[in-house]
Amino acid sequence: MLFPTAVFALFFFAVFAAHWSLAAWPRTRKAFLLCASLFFYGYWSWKFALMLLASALFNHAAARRMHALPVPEASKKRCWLVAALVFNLGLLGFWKYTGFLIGDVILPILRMASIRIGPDAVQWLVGFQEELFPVLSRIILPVGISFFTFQALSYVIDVYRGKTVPAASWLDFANYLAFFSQLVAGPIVRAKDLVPQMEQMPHRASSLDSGRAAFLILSGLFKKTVLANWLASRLADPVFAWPAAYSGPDVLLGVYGYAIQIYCDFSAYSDIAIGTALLLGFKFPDNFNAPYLATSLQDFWRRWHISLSTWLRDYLYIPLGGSRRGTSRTAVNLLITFLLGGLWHGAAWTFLLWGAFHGVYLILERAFVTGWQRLFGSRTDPDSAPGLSKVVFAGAGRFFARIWVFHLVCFSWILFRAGEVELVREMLGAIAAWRNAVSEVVLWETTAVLIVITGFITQFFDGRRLWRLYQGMSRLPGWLLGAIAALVLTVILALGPEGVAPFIYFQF
Amino acid sequence: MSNPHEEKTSGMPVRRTIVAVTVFYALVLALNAVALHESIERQPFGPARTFWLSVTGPPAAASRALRLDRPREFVNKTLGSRINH
Repeated sequence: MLFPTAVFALFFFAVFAAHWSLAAWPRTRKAFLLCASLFFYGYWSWKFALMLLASALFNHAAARRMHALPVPEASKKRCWLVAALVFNLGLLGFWKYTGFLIGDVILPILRMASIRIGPDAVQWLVGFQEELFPVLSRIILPVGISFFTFQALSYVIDVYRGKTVPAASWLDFANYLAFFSQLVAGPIVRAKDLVPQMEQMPHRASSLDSGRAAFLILSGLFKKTVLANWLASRLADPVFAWPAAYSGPDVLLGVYGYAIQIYCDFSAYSDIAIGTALLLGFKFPDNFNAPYLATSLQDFWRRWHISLSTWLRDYLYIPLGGSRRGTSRTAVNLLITFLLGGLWHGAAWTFLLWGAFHGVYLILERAFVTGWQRLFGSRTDPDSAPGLSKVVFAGAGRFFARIWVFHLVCFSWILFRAGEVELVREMLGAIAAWRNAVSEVVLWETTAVLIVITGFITQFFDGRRLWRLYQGMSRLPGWLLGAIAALVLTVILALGPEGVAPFIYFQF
Repeated sequence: MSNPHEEKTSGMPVRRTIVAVTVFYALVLALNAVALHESIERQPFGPARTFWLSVTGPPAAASRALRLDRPREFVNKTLGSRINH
Protein backbone atom coordinates (compact mmCIF):
# COMPACT_ATOMS: atom_id res chain seq x y z
CA MET A 1 0.00 0.00 0.00
CA LEU A 2 1.61 3.27 -1.08
CA PHE A 3 1.20 6.44 0.98
CA PRO A 4 0.15 8.77 -1.85
CA THR A 5 -2.82 6.66 -2.98
CA ALA A 6 -6.57 6.71 -2.40
CA VAL A 7 -6.39 3.21 -0.90
CA PHE A 8 -3.99 4.37 1.81
CA ALA A 9 -6.09 7.49 2.43
CA LEU A 10 -9.13 5.30 3.02
CA PHE A 11 -7.14 2.88 5.18
CA PHE A 12 -5.70 5.67 7.30
CA PHE A 13 -9.09 7.28 7.84
CA ALA A 14 -10.50 3.97 9.11
CA VAL A 15 -7.49 3.43 11.39
CA PHE A 16 -7.57 7.01 12.69
CA ALA A 17 -11.29 6.80 13.49
CA ALA A 18 -11.07 3.40 15.17
CA HIS A 19 -7.84 4.23 17.05
CA TRP A 20 -9.41 7.21 18.81
CA SER A 21 -12.83 5.57 19.20
CA LEU A 22 -11.24 2.62 21.02
CA ALA A 23 -9.27 4.82 23.44
CA ALA A 24 -11.29 3.52 26.42
CA TRP A 25 -10.36 -0.12 25.61
CA PRO A 26 -6.56 -0.20 25.44
CA ARG A 27 -6.16 -3.92 24.78
CA THR A 28 -8.71 -3.92 21.96
CA ARG A 29 -7.07 -0.80 20.62
CA LYS A 30 -3.64 -2.44 20.59
CA ALA A 31 -5.04 -5.55 18.92
CA PHE A 32 -6.78 -3.37 16.33
CA LEU A 33 -3.59 -1.42 15.61
CA LEU A 34 -1.68 -4.66 15.07
CA CYS A 35 -4.40 -6.02 12.77
CA ALA A 36 -4.33 -2.74 10.83
CA SER A 37 -0.54 -2.91 10.47
CA LEU A 38 -0.70 -6.53 9.31
CA PHE A 39 -3.46 -5.65 6.85
CA PHE A 40 -1.26 -2.80 5.55
CA TYR A 41 1.66 -5.19 5.03
CA GLY A 42 -0.49 -8.14 3.97
CA TYR A 43 -2.17 -5.98 1.31
CA TRP A 44 1.07 -6.55 -0.60
CA SER A 45 1.66 -10.15 0.53
CA TRP A 46 -0.12 -11.94 3.38
CA LYS A 47 2.63 -14.60 3.49
CA PHE A 48 5.18 -11.97 4.45
CA ALA A 49 2.74 -10.53 7.00
CA LEU A 50 2.86 -13.96 8.67
CA MET A 51 6.65 -13.85 8.55
CA LEU A 52 6.57 -10.46 10.26
CA LEU A 53 4.32 -11.91 12.93
CA ALA A 54 6.71 -14.85 13.42
CA SER A 55 9.61 -12.41 13.73
CA ALA A 56 7.72 -10.51 16.43
CA LEU A 57 7.01 -13.73 18.33
CA PHE A 58 10.58 -15.01 18.20
CA ASN A 59 12.32 -11.74 19.03
CA HIS A 60 10.04 -10.99 21.94
CA ALA A 61 10.47 -14.52 23.31
CA ALA A 62 14.27 -14.20 23.04
CA ALA A 63 14.22 -10.79 24.74
CA ARG A 64 12.06 -12.07 27.60
CA ARG A 65 14.29 -15.12 28.11
CA MET A 66 17.41 -12.95 28.19
CA HIS A 67 15.85 -10.55 30.65
CA ALA A 68 14.58 -13.35 32.91
CA LEU A 69 18.01 -15.01 33.22
CA PRO A 70 19.98 -14.05 36.35
CA VAL A 71 23.38 -12.35 36.00
CA PRO A 72 25.53 -15.53 36.61
CA GLU A 73 23.91 -17.17 33.60
CA ALA A 74 25.57 -14.81 31.16
CA SER A 75 26.47 -17.59 28.75
CA LYS A 76 22.81 -18.64 28.38
CA LYS A 77 21.95 -15.01 27.85
CA ARG A 78 24.57 -14.82 25.12
CA CYS A 79 23.13 -17.97 23.53
CA TRP A 80 19.74 -16.29 23.26
CA LEU A 81 21.34 -13.20 21.77
CA VAL A 82 23.23 -15.29 19.22
CA ALA A 83 20.02 -17.18 18.38
CA ALA A 84 18.20 -13.88 17.82
CA LEU A 85 21.06 -12.51 15.70
CA VAL A 86 21.16 -15.68 13.60
CA PHE A 87 17.38 -15.61 13.18
CA ASN A 88 17.20 -11.96 12.12
CA LEU A 89 20.34 -11.87 10.01
CA GLY A 90 19.42 -15.26 8.52
CA LEU A 91 16.03 -13.93 7.51
CA LEU A 92 17.58 -10.82 5.97
CA GLY A 93 20.41 -12.78 4.40
CA PHE A 94 18.16 -15.37 2.80
CA TRP A 95 15.67 -12.96 1.26
CA LYS A 96 18.07 -10.21 0.36
CA TYR A 97 21.45 -11.70 -0.38
CA THR A 98 20.91 -15.27 -1.67
CA GLY A 99 20.59 -14.16 -5.29
CA PHE A 100 23.61 -11.86 -5.05
CA LEU A 101 25.76 -14.40 -3.26
CA ILE A 102 25.00 -17.18 -5.72
CA GLY A 103 24.60 -15.17 -8.92
CA ASP A 104 27.33 -12.54 -8.44
CA VAL A 105 29.86 -14.24 -6.18
CA ILE A 106 29.73 -18.06 -6.28
CA LEU A 107 28.74 -18.63 -9.93
CA PRO A 108 31.45 -16.37 -11.42
CA ILE A 109 34.03 -18.30 -9.35
CA LEU A 110 32.57 -21.62 -10.50
CA ARG A 111 32.59 -20.40 -14.11
CA MET A 112 36.29 -19.58 -13.94
CA ALA A 113 37.02 -22.90 -12.25
CA SER A 114 34.97 -24.92 -14.75
CA ILE A 115 36.78 -23.33 -17.70
CA ARG A 116 40.06 -24.45 -16.20
CA ILE A 117 38.79 -27.97 -15.46
CA GLY A 118 37.45 -28.69 -18.92
CA PRO A 119 34.37 -28.99 -21.18
CA ASP A 120 32.59 -31.53 -18.95
CA ALA A 121 32.68 -29.16 -16.01
CA VAL A 122 31.41 -26.30 -18.18
CA GLN A 123 28.54 -28.46 -19.43
CA TRP A 124 27.65 -29.46 -15.86
CA LEU A 125 27.69 -25.84 -14.76
CA VAL A 126 25.43 -24.77 -17.63
CA GLY A 127 22.89 -27.44 -16.64
CA PHE A 128 23.19 -26.52 -12.98
CA GLN A 129 22.57 -22.84 -13.77
CA GLU A 130 19.50 -23.70 -15.84
CA GLU A 131 18.02 -25.45 -12.81
CA LEU A 132 19.16 -22.82 -10.34
CA PHE A 133 17.98 -19.59 -11.97
CA PRO A 134 14.23 -20.37 -11.86
CA VAL A 135 14.62 -21.15 -8.12
CA LEU A 136 16.50 -17.89 -7.50
CA SER A 137 13.93 -15.89 -9.44
CA ARG A 138 11.23 -17.09 -7.04
CA ILE A 139 12.95 -15.35 -4.12
CA ILE A 140 11.13 -12.03 -3.85
CA LEU A 141 12.47 -9.51 -1.39
CA PRO A 142 9.85 -8.74 1.28
CA VAL A 143 9.22 -4.98 1.33
CA GLY A 144 10.88 -3.21 4.25
CA ILE A 145 12.63 -6.33 5.60
CA SER A 146 15.85 -4.36 6.19
CA PHE A 147 13.97 -1.84 8.30
CA PHE A 148 12.01 -4.14 10.56
CA THR A 149 14.96 -6.54 10.93
CA PHE A 150 17.12 -3.66 12.18
CA GLN A 151 14.36 -2.63 14.60
CA ALA A 152 14.15 -6.21 15.93
CA LEU A 153 17.94 -6.36 16.26
CA SER A 154 18.09 -3.10 18.20
CA TYR A 155 15.43 -4.46 20.57
CA VAL A 156 17.16 -7.77 21.40
CA ILE A 157 20.61 -6.15 21.61
CA ASP A 158 19.35 -3.39 23.91
CA VAL A 159 17.63 -5.93 26.15
CA TYR A 160 20.85 -7.99 26.22
CA ARG A 161 22.90 -4.92 27.13
CA GLY A 162 20.37 -3.98 29.80
CA LYS A 163 19.66 -0.65 28.09
CA THR A 164 15.97 -1.42 27.84
CA VAL A 165 13.55 -3.93 29.30
CA PRO A 166 11.37 -6.26 27.22
CA ALA A 167 7.97 -4.93 26.21
CA ALA A 168 5.23 -5.52 28.77
CA SER A 169 3.43 -7.82 26.36
CA TRP A 170 3.98 -9.46 23.00
CA LEU A 171 1.23 -7.25 21.59
CA ASP A 172 3.19 -4.10 22.49
CA PHE A 173 6.34 -5.44 20.86
CA ALA A 174 4.45 -6.62 17.76
CA ASN A 175 2.94 -3.14 17.46
CA TYR A 176 6.42 -1.63 17.74
CA LEU A 177 7.83 -3.92 15.06
CA ALA A 178 4.91 -3.85 12.64
CA PHE A 179 3.58 -0.30 13.08
CA PHE A 180 2.42 0.57 9.57
CA SER A 181 3.60 4.18 9.54
CA GLN A 182 7.29 3.28 9.47
CA LEU A 183 7.15 -0.41 8.63
CA VAL A 184 8.38 -0.41 5.04
CA ALA A 185 10.83 2.48 4.79
CA GLY A 186 11.60 3.78 8.25
CA PRO A 187 12.59 5.75 10.18
CA ILE A 188 14.23 2.89 12.12
CA VAL A 189 12.74 3.70 15.51
CA ARG A 190 14.48 2.31 18.59
CA ALA A 191 12.56 0.12 21.01
CA LYS A 192 13.31 2.47 23.91
CA ASP A 193 11.55 5.27 22.01
CA LEU A 194 8.49 3.48 20.65
CA VAL A 195 7.78 0.47 22.89
CA PRO A 196 6.85 2.65 25.91
CA GLN A 197 4.47 4.59 23.64
CA MET A 198 2.91 1.32 22.48
CA GLU A 199 2.54 0.18 26.08
CA GLN A 200 0.91 3.39 27.25
CA MET A 201 -1.05 4.20 24.09
CA PRO A 202 -1.88 7.87 23.56
CA HIS A 203 -4.61 9.22 25.81
CA ARG A 204 -7.65 11.05 24.44
CA ALA A 205 -6.96 13.92 26.84
CA SER A 206 -3.46 14.41 25.43
CA SER A 207 -2.74 17.05 22.85
CA LEU A 208 -1.36 16.20 19.42
CA ASP A 209 1.20 18.01 17.32
CA SER A 210 -1.42 18.24 14.58
CA GLY A 211 0.00 21.35 12.92
CA ARG A 212 3.35 19.64 12.42
CA ALA A 213 1.61 16.42 11.34
CA ALA A 214 -0.41 18.26 8.67
CA PHE A 215 2.66 20.11 7.43
CA LEU A 216 4.80 16.97 7.26
CA ILE A 217 2.14 14.94 5.44
CA LEU A 218 1.46 17.68 2.90
CA SER A 219 5.11 18.54 2.31
CA GLY A 220 5.87 14.82 2.01
CA LEU A 221 3.13 14.39 -0.58
CA PHE A 222 4.41 17.44 -2.47
CA LYS A 223 7.97 16.16 -2.45
CA LYS A 224 6.94 12.70 -3.61
CA THR A 225 4.10 13.26 -6.06
CA VAL A 226 5.24 16.51 -7.64
CA LEU A 227 9.02 16.77 -7.30
CA ALA A 228 10.41 13.22 -6.99
CA ASN A 229 8.11 11.81 -9.67
CA TRP A 230 8.94 14.60 -12.09
CA LEU A 231 12.67 14.38 -11.48
CA ALA A 232 12.58 10.60 -11.92
CA SER A 233 10.61 10.54 -15.15
CA ARG A 234 12.14 13.63 -16.81
CA LEU A 235 15.76 13.68 -15.66
CA ALA A 236 17.16 10.77 -13.67
CA ASP A 237 15.55 7.76 -15.36
CA PRO A 238 16.25 8.79 -18.98
CA VAL A 239 19.85 9.83 -18.25
CA PHE A 240 20.69 6.71 -16.24
CA ALA A 241 18.98 4.51 -18.83
CA TRP A 242 21.12 5.74 -21.73
CA PRO A 243 23.84 8.22 -20.76
CA ALA A 244 25.54 7.93 -24.17
CA ALA A 245 22.55 9.68 -25.74
CA TYR A 246 23.07 12.84 -23.68
CA SER A 247 25.69 15.54 -23.56
CA GLY A 248 27.84 16.13 -20.46
CA PRO A 249 25.72 19.02 -19.13
CA ASP A 250 22.57 16.90 -19.48
CA VAL A 251 24.13 13.92 -17.69
CA LEU A 252 25.29 16.27 -14.94
CA LEU A 253 21.74 17.64 -14.59
CA GLY A 254 20.49 14.04 -14.50
CA VAL A 255 22.84 13.35 -11.59
CA TYR A 256 21.74 16.52 -9.77
CA GLY A 257 18.16 15.48 -10.53
CA TYR A 258 18.72 12.05 -8.99
CA ALA A 259 20.35 13.58 -5.91
CA ILE A 260 17.29 15.77 -5.36
CA GLN A 261 14.90 12.96 -6.34
CA ILE A 262 16.28 10.50 -3.80
CA TYR A 263 16.19 13.17 -1.10
CA CYS A 264 12.61 14.19 -1.96
CA ASP A 265 11.48 10.58 -2.29
CA PHE A 266 13.01 9.20 0.89
CA SER A 267 12.50 12.23 3.12
CA ALA A 268 8.88 12.35 1.87
CA TYR A 269 8.31 8.84 3.15
CA SER A 270 9.85 9.74 6.51
CA ASP A 271 7.79 12.94 6.70
CA ILE A 272 4.52 11.14 5.95
CA ALA A 273 5.45 8.36 8.40
CA ILE A 274 6.19 10.88 11.16
CA GLY A 275 3.07 12.91 10.32
CA THR A 276 0.63 9.98 10.29
CA ALA A 277 2.15 8.65 13.52
CA LEU A 278 1.71 12.07 15.13
CA LEU A 279 -1.98 12.07 14.22
CA LEU A 280 -2.30 8.76 16.06
CA GLY A 281 -0.41 10.22 19.03
CA PHE A 282 3.00 8.56 18.47
CA LYS A 283 6.30 10.42 18.21
CA PHE A 284 9.19 9.36 15.99
CA PRO A 285 12.66 10.89 15.82
CA ASP A 286 13.61 13.06 12.83
CA ASN A 287 15.26 11.22 9.96
CA PHE A 288 16.65 14.10 7.87
CA ASN A 289 18.19 17.44 8.61
CA ALA A 290 19.03 19.32 5.40
CA PRO A 291 21.67 16.79 4.24
CA TYR A 292 22.83 18.76 1.21
CA LEU A 293 23.87 21.62 3.46
CA ALA A 294 26.50 19.41 5.09
CA THR A 295 30.01 20.86 5.24
CA SER A 296 31.78 17.51 5.50
CA LEU A 297 30.91 13.92 4.68
CA GLN A 298 30.83 13.18 8.39
CA ASP A 299 28.35 16.03 8.75
CA PHE A 300 26.33 14.59 5.85
CA TRP A 301 25.89 11.31 7.72
CA ARG A 302 24.59 13.23 10.71
CA ARG A 303 21.88 14.70 8.48
CA TRP A 304 20.97 11.90 6.04
CA HIS A 305 18.88 8.89 7.11
CA ILE A 306 19.75 9.71 10.71
CA SER A 307 18.01 6.63 12.10
CA LEU A 308 20.20 4.30 9.98
CA SER A 309 23.48 6.14 10.57
CA THR A 310 22.91 6.20 14.34
CA TRP A 311 21.91 2.51 14.21
CA LEU A 312 25.14 1.61 12.40
CA ARG A 313 27.12 3.74 14.86
CA ASP A 314 25.56 2.19 17.98
CA TYR A 315 25.30 -1.46 16.89
CA LEU A 316 28.28 -1.84 14.56
CA TYR A 317 30.90 0.94 14.65
CA ILE A 318 31.11 1.32 18.44
CA PRO A 319 31.00 -2.45 19.21
CA LEU A 320 33.86 -2.85 16.68
CA GLY A 321 35.85 -0.44 18.83
CA GLY A 322 34.83 2.88 17.27
CA SER A 323 37.66 5.40 17.40
CA ARG A 324 39.07 4.16 20.71
CA ARG A 325 41.68 1.74 19.39
CA GLY A 326 44.06 3.87 17.37
CA THR A 327 44.08 5.40 13.91
CA SER A 328 44.39 2.28 11.78
CA ARG A 329 41.75 0.34 13.72
CA THR A 330 39.39 3.32 13.47
CA ALA A 331 39.91 3.34 9.71
CA VAL A 332 39.13 -0.38 9.48
CA ASN A 333 36.03 0.09 11.65
CA LEU A 334 34.81 2.94 9.47
CA LEU A 335 35.36 0.94 6.31
CA ILE A 336 33.56 -2.15 7.68
CA THR A 337 30.65 0.01 8.86
CA PHE A 338 30.21 1.71 5.52
CA LEU A 339 30.71 -1.45 3.46
CA LEU A 340 27.96 -3.13 5.47
CA GLY A 341 25.91 0.07 5.31
CA GLY A 342 26.23 -0.08 1.53
CA LEU A 343 25.21 -3.74 1.45
CA TRP A 344 22.24 -2.95 3.70
CA HIS A 345 20.89 -0.83 0.85
CA GLY A 346 21.05 -3.60 -1.68
CA ALA A 347 22.75 -6.74 -2.84
CA ALA A 348 24.92 -5.43 -5.67
CA TRP A 349 28.56 -4.57 -6.23
CA THR A 350 27.64 -0.94 -6.87
CA PHE A 351 26.17 -0.62 -3.36
CA LEU A 352 29.38 -2.08 -1.97
CA LEU A 353 31.35 0.44 -4.03
CA TRP A 354 29.09 3.21 -2.76
CA GLY A 355 29.75 2.16 0.84
CA ALA A 356 33.48 1.83 0.15
CA PHE A 357 33.59 5.32 -1.36
CA HIS A 358 31.95 6.83 1.73
CA GLY A 359 34.11 4.78 4.09
CA VAL A 360 37.41 5.62 2.37
CA TYR A 361 36.55 9.30 2.03
CA LEU A 362 35.61 9.48 5.72
CA ILE A 363 38.93 7.88 6.65
CA LEU A 364 40.79 10.47 4.55
CA GLU A 365 38.66 13.29 5.95
CA ARG A 366 39.42 12.15 9.47
CA ALA A 367 43.14 11.89 8.74
CA PHE A 368 43.07 15.38 7.26
CA VAL A 369 41.35 16.84 10.34
CA THR A 370 43.81 15.10 12.68
CA GLY A 371 46.77 16.33 10.60
CA TRP A 372 45.40 19.87 10.58
CA GLN A 373 44.98 19.75 14.34
CA ARG A 374 48.56 18.61 14.80
CA LEU A 375 49.84 21.37 12.53
CA PHE A 376 47.78 24.21 13.91
CA GLY A 377 47.10 23.04 17.44
CA SER A 378 43.29 22.95 17.30
CA ARG A 379 41.77 20.63 19.88
CA THR A 380 38.53 19.78 18.16
CA ASP A 381 37.70 16.11 18.41
CA PRO A 382 37.40 14.57 14.92
CA ASP A 383 34.24 12.84 16.11
CA SER A 384 32.54 16.08 17.10
CA ALA A 385 30.21 17.84 14.69
CA PRO A 386 30.65 19.18 12.15
CA GLY A 387 34.23 17.93 11.93
CA LEU A 388 36.21 19.16 8.98
CA SER A 389 34.47 22.44 8.36
CA LYS A 390 34.68 23.57 11.97
CA VAL A 391 38.38 22.85 12.14
CA VAL A 392 39.43 24.05 8.71
CA PHE A 393 36.83 26.31 7.23
CA ALA A 394 35.11 29.43 8.39
CA GLY A 395 32.77 31.95 6.76
CA ALA A 396 32.88 31.75 2.97
CA GLY A 397 34.93 28.56 3.24
CA ARG A 398 31.87 26.78 4.54
CA PHE A 399 29.93 27.73 1.45
CA PHE A 400 32.57 26.10 -0.75
CA ALA A 401 32.73 23.13 1.62
CA ARG A 402 28.98 22.66 1.12
CA ILE A 403 29.35 22.75 -2.66
CA TRP A 404 32.25 20.27 -2.48
CA VAL A 405 30.36 17.83 -0.22
CA PHE A 406 27.22 18.11 -2.34
CA HIS A 407 29.20 17.12 -5.42
CA LEU A 408 30.93 14.29 -3.59
CA VAL A 409 27.55 12.93 -2.56
CA CYS A 410 26.23 13.41 -6.11
CA PHE A 411 29.17 11.36 -7.41
CA SER A 412 28.40 8.64 -4.89
CA TRP A 413 24.75 8.62 -6.03
CA ILE A 414 25.97 7.56 -9.48
CA LEU A 415 27.38 4.40 -7.86
CA PHE A 416 24.17 3.99 -5.86
CA ARG A 417 21.77 4.40 -8.78
CA ALA A 418 23.70 2.76 -11.59
CA GLY A 419 23.23 -0.90 -10.67
CA GLU A 420 26.17 -1.89 -12.89
CA VAL A 421 29.79 -0.77 -12.84
CA GLU A 422 29.73 -0.36 -16.63
CA LEU A 423 26.97 2.24 -16.34
CA VAL A 424 29.03 4.19 -13.78
CA ARG A 425 31.85 4.31 -16.32
CA GLU A 426 29.45 5.49 -19.07
CA MET A 427 27.99 8.22 -16.84
CA LEU A 428 31.41 9.54 -15.83
CA GLY A 429 32.62 9.24 -19.43
CA ALA A 430 29.68 11.30 -20.68
CA ILE A 431 30.36 14.04 -18.11
CA ALA A 432 34.08 14.03 -18.87
CA ALA A 433 33.49 14.22 -22.63
CA TRP A 434 31.20 17.20 -21.92
CA ARG A 435 30.00 18.24 -25.40
CA ASN A 436 32.46 16.28 -27.52
CA ALA A 437 30.41 13.08 -27.97
CA VAL A 438 26.90 14.61 -27.99
CA SER A 439 26.84 18.37 -28.38
CA GLU A 440 23.12 19.10 -28.04
CA VAL A 441 21.91 20.16 -24.57
CA VAL A 442 18.23 19.24 -24.24
CA LEU A 443 17.43 18.84 -20.53
CA TRP A 444 18.44 22.26 -19.20
CA GLU A 445 14.96 23.77 -19.42
CA THR A 446 13.50 26.35 -17.04
CA THR A 447 11.06 23.83 -15.54
CA ALA A 448 13.84 21.30 -14.88
CA VAL A 449 16.08 23.83 -13.20
CA LEU A 450 13.19 25.26 -11.16
CA ILE A 451 12.17 21.78 -9.95
CA VAL A 452 15.75 20.89 -8.98
CA ILE A 453 16.05 24.19 -7.08
CA THR A 454 12.62 23.72 -5.43
CA GLY A 455 13.64 20.23 -4.33
CA PHE A 456 16.85 21.62 -2.88
CA ILE A 457 14.93 24.31 -1.01
CA THR A 458 12.58 21.75 0.58
CA GLN A 459 15.52 20.77 2.81
CA PHE A 460 14.78 23.88 4.82
CA PHE A 461 11.56 22.16 5.99
CA ASP A 462 13.65 19.53 7.81
CA GLY A 463 14.11 19.32 11.55
CA ARG A 464 12.26 21.94 13.56
CA ARG A 465 13.23 24.95 11.47
CA LEU A 466 9.54 25.74 10.96
CA TRP A 467 8.37 25.08 14.50
CA ARG A 468 6.74 28.49 14.76
CA LEU A 469 4.61 27.61 11.73
CA TYR A 470 3.67 24.26 13.31
CA GLN A 471 2.68 26.07 16.48
CA GLY A 472 0.55 28.52 14.53
CA MET A 473 -1.13 25.70 12.60
CA SER A 474 -1.89 23.80 15.81
CA ARG A 475 -3.60 26.90 17.21
CA LEU A 476 -6.04 27.12 14.29
CA PRO A 477 -9.61 25.87 14.75
CA GLY A 478 -9.84 22.22 13.69
CA TRP A 479 -12.21 22.86 10.76
CA LEU A 480 -9.95 25.61 9.40
CA LEU A 481 -6.80 23.48 9.58
CA GLY A 482 -8.69 20.65 7.84
CA ALA A 483 -10.01 22.97 5.13
CA ILE A 484 -6.62 24.57 4.43
CA ALA A 485 -4.95 21.15 4.31
CA ALA A 486 -7.62 19.88 1.88
CA LEU A 487 -7.09 22.86 -0.44
CA VAL A 488 -3.31 22.46 -0.36
CA LEU A 489 -3.60 18.74 -1.10
CA THR A 490 -5.91 19.46 -4.03
CA VAL A 491 -3.28 21.81 -5.49
CA ILE A 492 -0.57 19.16 -4.96
CA LEU A 493 -2.69 16.50 -6.67
CA ALA A 494 -3.39 18.85 -9.57
CA LEU A 495 0.32 19.57 -10.00
CA GLY A 496 1.46 15.96 -9.89
CA PRO A 497 1.38 13.52 -12.79
CA GLU A 498 -1.12 10.67 -12.84
CA GLY A 499 0.05 7.54 -11.04
CA VAL A 500 2.69 7.31 -8.36
CA ALA A 501 5.93 5.34 -8.59
CA PRO A 502 6.89 3.29 -5.51
CA PHE A 503 9.29 4.89 -3.04
CA ILE A 504 12.96 4.21 -3.84
CA TYR A 505 13.65 2.88 -0.35
CA PHE A 506 10.91 0.22 -0.64
CA GLN A 507 13.46 -1.98 -2.42
CA PHE A 508 15.77 -1.88 0.59
CA MET B 1 13.39 13.43 19.91
CA SER B 2 15.03 15.62 22.47
CA ASN B 3 14.76 18.80 20.49
CA PRO B 4 14.88 22.07 22.39
CA HIS B 5 11.89 23.39 20.46
CA GLU B 6 9.74 20.38 21.24
CA GLU B 7 8.60 21.71 24.57
CA LYS B 8 7.63 25.01 23.00
CA THR B 9 5.30 23.37 20.45
CA SER B 10 1.75 23.72 21.70
CA GLY B 11 -0.44 20.81 20.72
CA MET B 12 -3.98 20.49 19.45
CA PRO B 13 -6.52 18.56 21.53
CA VAL B 14 -7.49 15.16 20.11
CA ARG B 15 -11.11 16.25 19.66
CA ARG B 16 -10.06 19.25 17.54
CA THR B 17 -7.71 17.01 15.53
CA ILE B 18 -10.60 14.64 14.81
CA VAL B 19 -12.64 17.60 13.51
CA ALA B 20 -9.67 18.70 11.38
CA VAL B 21 -9.17 15.23 9.90
CA THR B 22 -12.91 14.78 9.22
CA VAL B 23 -13.21 18.17 7.48
CA PHE B 24 -10.02 17.42 5.56
CA TYR B 25 -11.30 14.10 4.22
CA ALA B 26 -14.75 15.49 3.39
CA LEU B 27 -13.28 18.43 1.48
CA VAL B 28 -10.60 16.38 -0.27
CA LEU B 29 -13.32 14.02 -1.48
CA ALA B 30 -15.54 16.89 -2.59
CA LEU B 31 -12.74 18.64 -4.47
CA ASN B 32 -11.16 15.56 -6.02
CA ALA B 33 -14.04 13.08 -6.50
CA VAL B 34 -14.28 13.71 -10.25
CA ALA B 35 -10.54 13.20 -10.82
CA LEU B 36 -10.62 10.09 -8.64
CA HIS B 37 -13.59 8.70 -10.54
CA GLU B 38 -11.87 9.36 -13.86
CA SER B 39 -8.67 7.66 -12.72
CA ILE B 40 -10.66 4.58 -11.69
CA GLU B 41 -12.31 4.58 -15.12
CA ARG B 42 -8.85 4.16 -16.61
CA GLN B 43 -8.15 1.06 -14.49
CA PRO B 44 -8.35 -2.43 -16.07
CA PHE B 45 -11.81 -3.99 -16.14
CA GLY B 46 -12.72 -6.20 -13.20
CA PRO B 47 -14.83 -6.44 -10.03
CA ALA B 48 -12.55 -4.01 -8.12
CA ARG B 49 -13.01 -1.35 -10.81
CA THR B 50 -16.77 -1.87 -10.89
CA PHE B 51 -16.96 -1.62 -7.09
CA TRP B 52 -14.88 1.55 -6.82
CA LEU B 53 -16.75 3.18 -9.71
CA SER B 54 -20.02 2.59 -7.86
CA VAL B 55 -18.49 4.05 -4.68
CA THR B 56 -17.00 7.16 -6.27
CA GLY B 57 -19.85 7.73 -8.74
CA PRO B 58 -22.28 9.62 -6.44
CA PRO B 59 -19.64 11.94 -4.87
CA ALA B 60 -18.23 12.62 -8.33
CA ALA B 61 -21.70 13.51 -9.65
CA ALA B 62 -22.36 15.79 -6.66
CA SER B 63 -18.93 17.40 -7.01
CA ARG B 64 -19.54 18.04 -10.71
CA ALA B 65 -23.03 19.44 -10.07
CA LEU B 66 -21.70 21.82 -7.41
CA ARG B 67 -18.68 22.68 -9.58
CA LEU B 68 -16.34 21.66 -6.81
CA ASP B 69 -14.05 20.02 -9.34
CA ARG B 70 -13.20 23.43 -10.80
CA PRO B 71 -10.34 24.42 -8.44
CA ARG B 72 -8.38 21.27 -9.26
CA GLU B 73 -9.13 21.63 -12.94
CA PHE B 74 -8.01 25.26 -12.86
CA VAL B 75 -4.68 24.46 -11.16
CA ASN B 76 -4.18 21.50 -13.47
CA LYS B 77 -4.77 23.59 -16.60
CA THR B 78 -2.74 26.60 -15.52
CA LEU B 79 0.22 24.88 -13.84
CA GLY B 80 -0.03 21.09 -13.71
CA SER B 81 -0.30 20.48 -17.44
CA ARG B 82 2.50 22.99 -18.07
CA ILE B 83 4.82 21.12 -15.69
CA ASN B 84 3.85 17.67 -16.91
CA HIS B 85 3.39 18.40 -20.63
